[in-house]
Amino acid sequence: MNRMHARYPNCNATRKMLLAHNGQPMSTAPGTVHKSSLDELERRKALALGAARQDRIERQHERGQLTAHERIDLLLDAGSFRQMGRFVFGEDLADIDRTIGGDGSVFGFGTIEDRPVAVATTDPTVKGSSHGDAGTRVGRTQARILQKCRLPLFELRQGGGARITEMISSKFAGVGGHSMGDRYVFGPKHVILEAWLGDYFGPQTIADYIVTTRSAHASITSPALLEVATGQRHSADELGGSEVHARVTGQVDGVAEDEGAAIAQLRKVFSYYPSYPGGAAPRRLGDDSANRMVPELRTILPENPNRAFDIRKVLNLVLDKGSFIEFSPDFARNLVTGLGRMDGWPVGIVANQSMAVAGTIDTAAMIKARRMLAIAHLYSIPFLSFLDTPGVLTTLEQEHSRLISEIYALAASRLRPAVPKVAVIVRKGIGFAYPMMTASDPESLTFAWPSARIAFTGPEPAARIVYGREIQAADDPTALLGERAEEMRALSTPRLAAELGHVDAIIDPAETRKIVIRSLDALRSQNLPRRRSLMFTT
Amino acid sequence: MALINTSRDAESGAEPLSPRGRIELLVDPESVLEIAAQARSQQPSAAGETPGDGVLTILARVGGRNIAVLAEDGSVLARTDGEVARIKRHRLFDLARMTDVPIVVMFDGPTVSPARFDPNAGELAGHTSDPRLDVNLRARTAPLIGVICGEVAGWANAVVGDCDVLIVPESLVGTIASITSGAIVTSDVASAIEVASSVLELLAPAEKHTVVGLPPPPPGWANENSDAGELAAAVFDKGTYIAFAGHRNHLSTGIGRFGGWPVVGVLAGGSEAAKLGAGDLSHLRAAYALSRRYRLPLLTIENCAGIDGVASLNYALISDLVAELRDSDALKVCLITGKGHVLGTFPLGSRQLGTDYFIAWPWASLSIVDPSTDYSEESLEAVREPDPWLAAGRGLIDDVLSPEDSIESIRWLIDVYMSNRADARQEMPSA
Repeated sequence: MNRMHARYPNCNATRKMLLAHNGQPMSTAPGTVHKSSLDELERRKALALGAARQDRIERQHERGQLTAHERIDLLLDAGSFRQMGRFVFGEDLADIDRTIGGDGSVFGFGTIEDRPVAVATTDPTVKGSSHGDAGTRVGRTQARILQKCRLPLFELRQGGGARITEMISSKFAGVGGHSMGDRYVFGPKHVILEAWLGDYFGPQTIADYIVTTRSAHASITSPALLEVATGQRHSADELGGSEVHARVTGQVDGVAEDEGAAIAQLRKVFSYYPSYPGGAAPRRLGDDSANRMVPELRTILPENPNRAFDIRKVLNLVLDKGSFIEFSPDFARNLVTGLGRMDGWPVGIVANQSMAVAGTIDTAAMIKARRMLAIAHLYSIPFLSFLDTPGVLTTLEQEHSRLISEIYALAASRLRPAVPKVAVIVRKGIGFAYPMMTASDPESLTFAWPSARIAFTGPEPAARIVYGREIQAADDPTALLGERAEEMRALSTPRLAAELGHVDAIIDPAETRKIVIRSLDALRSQNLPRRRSLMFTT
Repeated sequence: MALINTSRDAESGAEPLSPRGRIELLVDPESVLEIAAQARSQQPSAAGETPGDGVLTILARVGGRNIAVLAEDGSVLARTDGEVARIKRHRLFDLARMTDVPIVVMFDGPTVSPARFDPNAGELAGHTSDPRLDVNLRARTAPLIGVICGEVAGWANAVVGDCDVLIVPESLVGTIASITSGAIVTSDVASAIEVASSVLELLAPAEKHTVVGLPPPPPGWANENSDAGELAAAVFDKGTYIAFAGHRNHLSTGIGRFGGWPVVGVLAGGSEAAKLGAGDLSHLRAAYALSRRYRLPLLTIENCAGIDGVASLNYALISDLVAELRDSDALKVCLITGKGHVLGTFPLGSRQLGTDYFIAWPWASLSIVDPSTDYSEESLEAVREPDPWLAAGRGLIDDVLSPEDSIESIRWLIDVYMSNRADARQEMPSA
């Protein structure tokens, strides 16, 4: 018995059944007209698209979910999809007609707005969208091509992870080790944009953008496996529901109502990214003038400097109209991050949001800021920051949440992107938070509105420290504190910083858009040295 | 060896081409920048004029793109190799390496034997003129093209074997017989220079192409029994394919434009029973090296029954072949149109050796052995139906496509690979 027979005991019978068609064995004689082979090709194409699993397709639709090919059709330009390994089937040769088409995994290439991309998705109509051996093999081939061709990868996820029936033996040792961790050690070699469209329990990629449908769940383990392994009982919602990821873990950048909206969001976000690290990000010129004045910005701040206001109003007025895409809006709400456009060019944005925790920067906000800095760095996207922060949040909880390390990590991340950077101090720029928001970086340009206040610490704490004894001894300590704090506030106007050259200009808020665009344009051609680091931080 | 006879026959007359005439024939008009034109021999006994110390070192353009040219001038000091000439060579090779431009060397060494040296030639001891001692030509990232215009001697012996493309006039084949098995043979020196010019234009990236609106496959493409030359003519853009190894019925290696992009081609076809011999493996190695060195896509189209018995025992050569494929970062595409039997598929780029896109026609015959060979009944059991479906089912090949779809898919992939390469000359940022 040869090796093939050892592995597939019924292979001859099954193969004869499958390979004979129209009652005739297939011709292999060269030089003939190969009509029968072409007929077989057409037959298998139909099977690959699910001709023999209509029941599964219908069940998927009944759940309100789409099939792999329907999802791909929504993602890619019409008719552009080219599947790799479309005739791959599962290990069970008696079930070929039901698994052919990728054995639960669909890989391929296509275009989005004529830009070539790679797609990887699971097929919910085959074996619970689990990853089989053959499908995994095709995935590796695709990975090699997309790296050589520098293609962005779109992952549309739904499924149960590895196929336990094929991984139950110790051959599991051969799974994953070749690729897991690559991204962290060597840095990403291509753009990855991802949608979670159903339940997915297994290792995930740290993508450059992740959108989830509201009903999807994603976690390393499933509720069932968790209970078996540890006895803990938690629902899929508790483990990795969209709310959990949007608010608690911050591991998704967007939440969409349904699959169509999620996939449309991926297409939209991709228009901001270059096709590969080092490539040029696409410019999309709209009808918004680069010289547009924004008089509304002169009156946008509350009279009371301690009163909160929504920084997103500033962003929407300064950026190209309708271009702002916010990342993780419900996680670390004290910092707004996202991508927008200035004069058609993509820009990465971080902005303090005084409506949450007064705009202080805590460890969650630092994680969020680092993610945007990493994207700017990897994809050479210019970086724009808006400051309105009273400083780093220094509570006991925060100190116990690795605050020292997180501050250092963000400080290092801020220096890494060798891209044009512009900072606008809208209101407060206090303490360590000031440089962490990339203000007064020697390689960037920094502008301050007249309302800006810059200092090591806020006026009240500063007055307490500097005039502590005097205030204590005063007849009316509160009144004196207010008086001294006002003196401190006066010292923190941006005038001195501008005179010393730490701030490049104090600008009329109405001119913010015009000046930022001019600055980004001036910095665009600078040839900054790329800083090296070993770790890609997200 | 392929004999290329262009319409031009500039040397058929009485006047042979001078070194400058050869260069003028190669490069764009008024593009020459000569380096060290005022250099002269420093040999104490050198009498009379010794222009350039017998070597011309030129920076110029071909088709608007920069190249470096080194041409030996046999009229100076009986073509002997002087110290100044060595320095000039060193300088030119170094400049070419630093600027990543192709190098064309026009070999024209001593014909007067023995070479004449000064009485004090002992001073030259220690200055052995192998330029590879100074400039590591093997670290080059642009092609090295050799044109044989006369004898190959001295320092040139060490370089000529390293050329990516070697072009030799028919009349000079005998002088370098041992190294010309993979050379392009032309009718004369002028034709050789024209071929060099064509190769340079092929290696230069074309203008950026779009991935939509590719032309339909050429007529005759679907005949898997075309011989290698017919296959090349059908697949590559019309009139662009240049065969490196001599055209045989069953194997052709060369370079041409495919959808507008420069692509290294390996085409194995023709006779059903054709197998690869040791000579074929040498040609494959040269083609693979060219693809690897310049990251040019490698397109293999295969209808091959395997390797013959003698070649299969040439372990050193096979090992070299494997290394060239394995170490290559270029995009490698392989299409099985007929036979893809493992001992042929292996040196022609199996999946294990890094073929990135591996596809077959529906009637392709993929198997471990040639089913037509007289093997035992038991061992043939697994190859009775050597169709591509099981390989496709296990993900060992990426697709089964009709002839029309296959060429379109290959074109698309090569277009994407080359477009993104052309867009991004800079290295990726280090994360």
